Amino acid sequence: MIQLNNLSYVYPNGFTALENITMELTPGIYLLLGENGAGKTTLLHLIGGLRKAVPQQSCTLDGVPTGSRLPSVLSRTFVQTDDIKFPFGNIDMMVKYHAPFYPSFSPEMLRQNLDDYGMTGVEHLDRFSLGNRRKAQLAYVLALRPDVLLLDEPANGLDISSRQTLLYQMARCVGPEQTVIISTHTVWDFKNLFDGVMVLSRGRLVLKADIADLTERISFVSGSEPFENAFFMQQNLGQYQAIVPNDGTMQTDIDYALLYNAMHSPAASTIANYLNQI
Amino acid sequence: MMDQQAYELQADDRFSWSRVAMIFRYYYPQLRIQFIVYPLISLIAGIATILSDYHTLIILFAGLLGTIQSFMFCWSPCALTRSPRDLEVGLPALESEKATFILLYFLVGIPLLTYLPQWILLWIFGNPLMVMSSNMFGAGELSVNFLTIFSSLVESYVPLVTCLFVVLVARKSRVLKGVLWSVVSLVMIGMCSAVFGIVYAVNNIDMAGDSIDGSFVGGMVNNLVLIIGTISLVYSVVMIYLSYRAIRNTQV
Repeated sequence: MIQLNNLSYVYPNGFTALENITMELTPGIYLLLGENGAGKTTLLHLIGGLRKAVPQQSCTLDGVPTGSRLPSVLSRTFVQTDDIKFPFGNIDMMVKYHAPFYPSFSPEMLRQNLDDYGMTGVEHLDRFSLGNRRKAQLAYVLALRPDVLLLDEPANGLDISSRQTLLYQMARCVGPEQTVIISTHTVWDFKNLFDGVMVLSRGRLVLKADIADLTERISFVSGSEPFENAFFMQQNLGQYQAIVPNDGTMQTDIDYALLYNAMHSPAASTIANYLNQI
Repeated sequence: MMDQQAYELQADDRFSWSRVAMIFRYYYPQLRIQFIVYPLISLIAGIATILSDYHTLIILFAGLLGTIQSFMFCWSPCALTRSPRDLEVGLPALESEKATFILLYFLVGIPLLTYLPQWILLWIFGNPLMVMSSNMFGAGELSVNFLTIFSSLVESYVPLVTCLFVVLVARKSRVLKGVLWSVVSLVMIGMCSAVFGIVYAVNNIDMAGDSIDGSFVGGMVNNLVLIIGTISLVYSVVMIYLSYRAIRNTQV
């Protein structure tokens, strides 16, 4: 389990990227939302041990600080950043030189993932387009099967069918013991995959909720007339879109864009308080 | 899935030479060219030195190779820049294991790759000490003794440890910065030597009288070797420590 306890992070230039984040993450697939510069990548780096939290105990994996960078911790985490570049010519070389650090790595899963994209693993990554390079990288990192997989904009550069393939791969590869955090702005690619959602705003965690709780307690509705009891409402192409308390009569799909806008509005604290009520 | 041994190794957070070997394997593709080119150049330099008695051009060729070897030696840490920092930092190994590999490779491995074939060749066919003092460290005029060799050896590490440290801490243009700062460190050593030479000459010129003979120059050079060697040693130790700290504290 990932535990963040009053996690803050200040860059050497004095910029506060994260402030007092407290939460626990059990295995599952989480969506991480936030505006540009909200601290999403910094949070992924801290959980993945690429940055060191101060104090170290403010970010732990099963009680061990990720910033300690112990092999037993790092071999269970992997951060796939948006602009990651593999140091080797092809995926087979990654398997030979990098994968041995990750005991959970599954060569069979890698073959299957690469097959999905019509790749073999010997293709030279530098000769790939951005999208194909990204596919090969994702096929590899999913096959590493770390307990904590942190993906920063994984669908960037992928065409529509590849995004669907990635969705299927994630459904197939991610085991019940794994925690996956996906930071993305294109939420609809994976919308049926998430078990939970977190929203960051200016370095603060404004929402952390399970999808089941969310759909049970609030509804995302739209109509031509304003909604009286809405926590948050916006107008879009003549339609009113609103977040309203769920009176138990219907469960709606989550409109992530609406939720995002709501959590970046003055209504954020009202919604968060309502969701936190037992 | 990988075998039980891999699980046990990665579950153990004590220093492990097996993981140091894995780190070596991780870096090997990036360093492979050094494993091939460095001994080859060294071998050719050795052959050229042996054959330098036969033709003047061969002496020039050997000199050129010596210069190339010095550059290869100084700038070898630039090879580290091929690995992206986020993968390197997240590599599941202890920071002390990463530091052990990097420091051992560049402080011991690189000198051996750069000069060992040449030394072996000259040991078989000539006098290795002569070559060590003349080719590697540019001190051919000195009488060869332990102090001069040790001092020259330490001095030759100055640009290497500078380049290594800069490559480890720089975020952008790592190669360019590594090369530039190693040149700066060489210039600084040269300036230290020049300042020492001037000070020594000014202080001892009266004692030397009208004739500045070999013993005056020899005395000055021996003192210079001692002082520059000491400065280089202290500097190198500090840079190695800072490099170790950089490996420990690196963040993406």
